[in-house]
Amino acid sequence: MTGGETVLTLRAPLRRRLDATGVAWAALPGLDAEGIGSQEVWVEGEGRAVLGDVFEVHGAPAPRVRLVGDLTLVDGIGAGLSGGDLVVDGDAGRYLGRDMRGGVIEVRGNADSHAGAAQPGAKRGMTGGEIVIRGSAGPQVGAGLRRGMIVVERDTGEATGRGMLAGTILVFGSVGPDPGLWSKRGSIVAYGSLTPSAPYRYACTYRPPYLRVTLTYLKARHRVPVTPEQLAGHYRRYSGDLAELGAGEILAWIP
Amino acid sequence: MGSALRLFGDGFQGSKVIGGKRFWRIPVMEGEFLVEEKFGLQKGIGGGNFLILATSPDAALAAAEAGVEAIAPLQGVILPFPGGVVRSGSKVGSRRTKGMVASTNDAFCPTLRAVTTTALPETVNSVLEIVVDGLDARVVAQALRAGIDAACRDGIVGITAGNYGGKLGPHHFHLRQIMSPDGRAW
Repeated sequence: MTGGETVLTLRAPLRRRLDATGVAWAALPGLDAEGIGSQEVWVEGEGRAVLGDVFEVHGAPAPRVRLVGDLTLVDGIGAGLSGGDLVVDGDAGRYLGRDMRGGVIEVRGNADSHAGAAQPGAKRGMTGGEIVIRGSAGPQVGAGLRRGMIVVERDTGEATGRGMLAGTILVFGSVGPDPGLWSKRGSIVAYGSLTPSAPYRYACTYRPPYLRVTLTYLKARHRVPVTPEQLAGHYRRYSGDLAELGAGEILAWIP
Repeated sequence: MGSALRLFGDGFQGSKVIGGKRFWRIPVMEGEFLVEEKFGLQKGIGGGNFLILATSPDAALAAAEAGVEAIAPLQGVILPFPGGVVRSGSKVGSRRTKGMVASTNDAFCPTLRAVTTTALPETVNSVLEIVVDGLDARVVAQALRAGIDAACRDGIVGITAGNYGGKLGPHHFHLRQIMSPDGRAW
């Protein structure tokens, strides 16, 4: 055990994509090093492998699991997570937190496309929990989000929150093109540059009281660098997607 | 509570889960009302108050705002009126309309000085009230003391309180006692 956590350290830089959606992420906190090392993954072009082939595992069962290394090529980290804390000490690949139901994933670097998003053909993305990305997120972060919160401390790619059903995405950098298209409900909150998508309509400028509660929580629980100006600030509210239910919103902070 | 109040939103309400707690967002004319879906209840004390007697409406408002600012950070109390300030203080019952629970506090209305039994000194031209609700008598008294201290400024002729003939409940906050040196013992 290393400070109450289990640590998985990448043995060598990856050269092929690795699909980790088959790992029982929700069960990892209860497993010992051998149990974690025997979890199956899929290596592109090579086939079946186990986590122990790719990572050195240190520690005993602990509520917090930390992955160390450049995991840009590892897809599906935290898939199906339902509790506990999962930390990625580096970058993460595609489909971070796919089908996540609870718990917290913290990525200390960047995340590739589809963080918290629905897998292809699925009706919904993550249904609970929180994802905090300290860097930037790729396209379609939170696409199909059903419930839960995604925080991106820097920028997001195109189609942020595409087809959201509910939940909240907060972006502290710039938001890529076409945010919130086809969303039914849910909130995209932007602290950097943002161009609202065409089927969104301006409603008003106000101070949403729930954002103050949300930001206070994020600052205390996840050490998100929220400023007093953001806490007390005014936001432009856009309602949409008006081609869908129209109960979604984009909130753009006015610096 | 929140799960019942949300229905006021008439289908326009929405919810958010923050830190494991569900909140309801209800659109209202002022902007948005936020309420937790579930929260605990306990008996408290409502209606602690003081009246600010001022030479002008501007002086009354400035004093009231100073009082609100002093009370707002205190724990265990709320100011139930918008902005914490009451412009239309009331008396219990009515002189004319049977069954009416409350009506204008004519004794403290400057415009009625000549036609009713007034409680206002000659130089008073505007009165505002601050109402304090709290978890117990001690925190309400402390809030009244802090608010009165802050409200005593230029243009204020006097501070008093609505006693309502002692009919408004078992708790009585005597301002002379609260503001005395021993008042800190509350």
